[in-house]
Amino acid sequence: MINSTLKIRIMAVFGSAVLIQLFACTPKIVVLDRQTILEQESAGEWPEIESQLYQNSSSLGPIPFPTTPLSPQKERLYHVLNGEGVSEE
Amino acid sequence: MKPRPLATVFLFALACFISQKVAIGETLVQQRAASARRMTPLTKLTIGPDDQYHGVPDPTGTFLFFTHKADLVSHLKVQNLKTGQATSLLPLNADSQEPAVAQNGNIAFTYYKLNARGDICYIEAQQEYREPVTDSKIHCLNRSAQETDTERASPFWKSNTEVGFVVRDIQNKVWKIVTQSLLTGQTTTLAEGKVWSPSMRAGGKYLIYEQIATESGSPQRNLVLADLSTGQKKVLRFSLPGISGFPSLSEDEQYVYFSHYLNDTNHDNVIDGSDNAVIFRASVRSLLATPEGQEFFPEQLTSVESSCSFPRTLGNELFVTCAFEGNLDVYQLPAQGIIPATWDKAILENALQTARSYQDRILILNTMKFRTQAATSVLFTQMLLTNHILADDPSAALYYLAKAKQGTGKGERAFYDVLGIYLRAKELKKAQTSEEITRAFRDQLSLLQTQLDQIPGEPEFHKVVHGLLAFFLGDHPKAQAYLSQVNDSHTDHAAPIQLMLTFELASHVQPSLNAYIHLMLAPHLSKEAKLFYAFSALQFIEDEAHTVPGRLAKIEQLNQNFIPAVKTLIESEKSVLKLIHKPDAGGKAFFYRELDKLISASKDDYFLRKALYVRAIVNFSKAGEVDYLRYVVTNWIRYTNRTDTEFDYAREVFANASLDQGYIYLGKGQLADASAFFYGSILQTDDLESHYNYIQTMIKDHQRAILKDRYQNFTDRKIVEENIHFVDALLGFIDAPGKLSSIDQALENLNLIEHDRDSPIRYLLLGYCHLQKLLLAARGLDFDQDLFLNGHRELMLAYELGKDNARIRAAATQNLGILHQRVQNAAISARFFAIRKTFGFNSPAEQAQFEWLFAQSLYDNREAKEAALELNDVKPELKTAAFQERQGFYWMAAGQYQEAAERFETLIHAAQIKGDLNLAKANLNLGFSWLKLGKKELAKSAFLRSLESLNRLEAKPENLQTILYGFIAQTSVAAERQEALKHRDELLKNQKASLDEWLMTCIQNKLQLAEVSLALNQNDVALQAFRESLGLVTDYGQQNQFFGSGVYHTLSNTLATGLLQPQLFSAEDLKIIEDFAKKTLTAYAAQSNAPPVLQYQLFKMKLLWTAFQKKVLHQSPTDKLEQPESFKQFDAKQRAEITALRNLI
Repeated sequence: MINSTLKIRIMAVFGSAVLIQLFACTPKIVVLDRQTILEQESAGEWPEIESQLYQNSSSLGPIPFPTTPLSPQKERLYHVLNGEGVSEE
Repeated sequence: MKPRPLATVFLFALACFISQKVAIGETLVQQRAASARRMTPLTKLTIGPDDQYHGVPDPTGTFLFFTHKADLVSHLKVQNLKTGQATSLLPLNADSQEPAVAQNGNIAFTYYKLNARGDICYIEAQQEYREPVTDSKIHCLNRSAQETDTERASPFWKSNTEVGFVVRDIQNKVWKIVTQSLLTGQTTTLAEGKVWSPSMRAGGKYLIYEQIATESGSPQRNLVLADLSTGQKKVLRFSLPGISGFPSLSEDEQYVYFSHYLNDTNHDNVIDGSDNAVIFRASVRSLLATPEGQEFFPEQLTSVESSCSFPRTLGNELFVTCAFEGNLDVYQLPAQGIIPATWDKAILENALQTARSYQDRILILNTMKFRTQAATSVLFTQMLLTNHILADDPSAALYYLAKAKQGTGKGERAFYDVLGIYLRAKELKKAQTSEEITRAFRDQLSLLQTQLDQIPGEPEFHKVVHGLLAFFLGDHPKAQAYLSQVNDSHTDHAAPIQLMLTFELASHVQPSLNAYIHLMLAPHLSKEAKLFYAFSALQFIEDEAHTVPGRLAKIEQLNQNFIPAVKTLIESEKSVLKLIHKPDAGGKAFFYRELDKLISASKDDYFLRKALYVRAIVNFSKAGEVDYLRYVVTNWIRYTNRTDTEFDYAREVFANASLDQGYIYLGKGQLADASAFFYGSILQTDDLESHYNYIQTMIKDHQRAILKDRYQNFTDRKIVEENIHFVDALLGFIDAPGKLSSIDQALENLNLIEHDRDSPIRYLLLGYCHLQKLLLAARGLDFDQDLFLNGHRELMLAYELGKDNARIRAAATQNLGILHQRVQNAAISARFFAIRKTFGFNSPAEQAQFEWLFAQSLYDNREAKEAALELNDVKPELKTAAFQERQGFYWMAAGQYQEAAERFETLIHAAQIKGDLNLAKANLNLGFSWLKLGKKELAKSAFLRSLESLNRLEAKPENLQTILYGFIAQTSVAAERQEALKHRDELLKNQKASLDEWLMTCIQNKLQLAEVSLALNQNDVALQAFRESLGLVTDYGQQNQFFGSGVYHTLSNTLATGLLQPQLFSAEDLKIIEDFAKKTLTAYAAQSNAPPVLQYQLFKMKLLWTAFQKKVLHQSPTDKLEQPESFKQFDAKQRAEITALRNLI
């Protein structure tokens, strides 16, 4: 049979355990699903690439691909039609 | 200067085009275009991605009023026709549409501000339209009390003081066309019934409108011309298939213009306003002279391909709305249509021969019919029937079929009846909305099959049409069976249309070369038709046999007794393929000589020559035989007479080829040849794309010095005029890159261009200018909004106007991606980059730069995984440490820690990362990845290495150090942990301004320091940490409120510590704690409708405080501690905590 003193001690220990747990639940660093401070600070710096990137990549005029697909307007120039419906004979 | 043989030959070939006198004010190109025998192109007036329609000019021809629709919202705009500047006409606080302009320039319109059913309102004419008119200047016609529910629409001007419109009383189903006086308000009804689309010339006597009226027991839709002076009304009947709509009258009331819908182009089985439209006109006098009930044949002005409607005239100009470039826009053309009035029968026959589409043929045939007054000609009916079948217009074909049947004998009639079954079945098939064969469709075709069986005669044609019906029903075996029953010898006497349909059946169920051969041999087919099938056979062989030897082998099967023209075409194809297959120059030259002989021999046979040229060009183009391609194209134009309607097509092929070959040589690095072709293209077109490439190529070839003289020469010879401003803008940039002054000068120059104002190249350069200005001026998150909006608008216009040019679209989307990235529109930037990627790249290096940008935008848009994957497309040899580091970083951000760890390990151990800062970051990221993977020891090692690298830097980035010490604390225990937390604490003191959530971070750190210090029995350190966190949070509470996670954690941890170690806090500390607790609990209790988590926090703090009061402060707390109602919503851990605390108390 457990006497009342023991009961109190058990409760105290249990309560302390809870308190310790509470105290131990100090907030930790978490990574959120968005740019965190870590992500903001830890990306490498590459000035040799980034400094001229916008200048080198933006375009004054059309990109000079050697060949491109024929546009419908250009393709039309090469249409060969069925000759029926043209002749008067 | 090194000799340029290719250039010399090419330029010599151009000499024949250049020796022309040029009119003052016109360039050579403009003069050449004006003299060319070609259909007049439509001039686009409005630009942009939204729909713009109902274009109406003002009487002076200065302004164009139109409806602009975006996102289902319509409102009126006005455009200065000289400058192209468009602005909103009315305030944007209400929808508006349907502008109508009076003789005095006043504008009436339908307005939806005061009544959702529409009001008719007007504004007075202005000298200029710089901004929307104010609400006070809008006048709306009154409605009587009985008219509040009626719809009002389609305004027009009867005179300067009377506005007409349509009134629809929906409840009583009454429609009327009325006029209302602006002076007296009196209303007069002009027409009643199912009427709409009224139009008048202000001050004129005719009203024209559409109506549906019952005739012979069925509803008929027609145009009605009403003479308001006599009250007479004439129902207009046109000898055309389909229906008419949107009529208008010319200013002098000589002509009626209208849209006509010839066929069901959207395949909904109804010909209506949703189908492609054609503009026609008819003389009012001729219409009135036509006997009642008789049909009139009008003049066709546009092709169905351009799908134009809403015609309005001003003088000799016609304004229409067309839909052929993806959205609705307003265009301008001569009032007599796109076929020049000067074209006589001979020229029209020539144009018919050289037409590039069946729709163009139909236009030319209708024009011939009209101009030669051959409206009832059987020949034209036949040709129109054939061309509508070839154009896949069964509805229109049925109309001409009915006409063709009239006056035919029984024998012929059977043929037409069978053909009619096919056309009706085709019509039904096209109306199906999916591939699934519905019950209704099956029943309809079954009925047609029954009708077909009842037609006597034409047994072979029956089989063909039965086969086609079976094919439409998806029964391929049955269709095949019918085809196999068709007698081979029927080709000897079958009509051309029958042969066409037999071929159609064969190509569906049993595609083979034999089907083509039958037609190439059919005696009753014209030479032109046989050439067409021979041409198609060669295309078929190309699709079937993908290699040159394979194709040559198949062509050997074409060895039948064909007509000479067909044989020539086959021989030329063989020569071309053999040339392509030869590896050596000598061998190629041999076969080109053979081809050249065939070309020369065919120069008088248009169809043969064209088929031959096209096959050669297509083959050489695909095989990359650039030189021979050029020879053929040059031959084409050389052998085409200037007065031939073919000349303009040949010239365009030539100009396109020049530009394309310039690009090909540029791609090969042969700059001299490239510049020669771009030069040639300038001579042909004077277009900005040619100028741009010529200048860029010359500069790359170190020929900058001669450009000035070259362009002076162009200007002297009138080859270039206004476009010199583009040249000046471009050269300004190239000579002084990155300077604000050169950008501003370029903008000034570009704004001087009027004729090529809407060139996508101009907009591309304008957009680039604004982008560069923005990049130069932007600082951090701050940028010039106007530069951004202008740049975006211009680049979008370049994208829209360059829809057929992949090079322009690639450049526009690249610049748009950069623009939006710079202003932090990550999602939009990523979208533009995604589109850019579809166009491809000129080199792996170019792609690598692009991928860096694209991945950045994806990452900024929180698509870290996609960003990492994107960098996989960088070629391995170009994947420097920077790319690998970036990819590792994106993997980490995406939560793919294994991939990230592997990437960083490789980089660090291979010593590929140079520089202590980047090395520190790489180790930090590696450590973090290991931590997330549960590998604490590896993580700690990486963090410590990172710290070592940071400590070697002179200027140490404090934010980074703070993060590192936090991680080191997390991965350490006892004294090491305490040490790290102390360092962190020191660093945090200086970071209030630079760190988000600084207070929370500081409190966290101090509470953790307190915890570890207590564990190390360093109570004084722990106490100090508690005191500091209490101080921080008290300051915070006094400035804000005692509420928040920092407050909660401080109080609950302090109270819990006090309960565990009651002797820790001094009396003064306890006072502070008591004060803090009371304020915190009051603030929490004051929260109304607190969510469960706050209720949990409050209750927990109350329990702790109660325990603290009893055990530490030795007080008798009075709080009743009632369990909150939301207790059941606490999670299990929270409930256990609360229960334990209650028991403790």
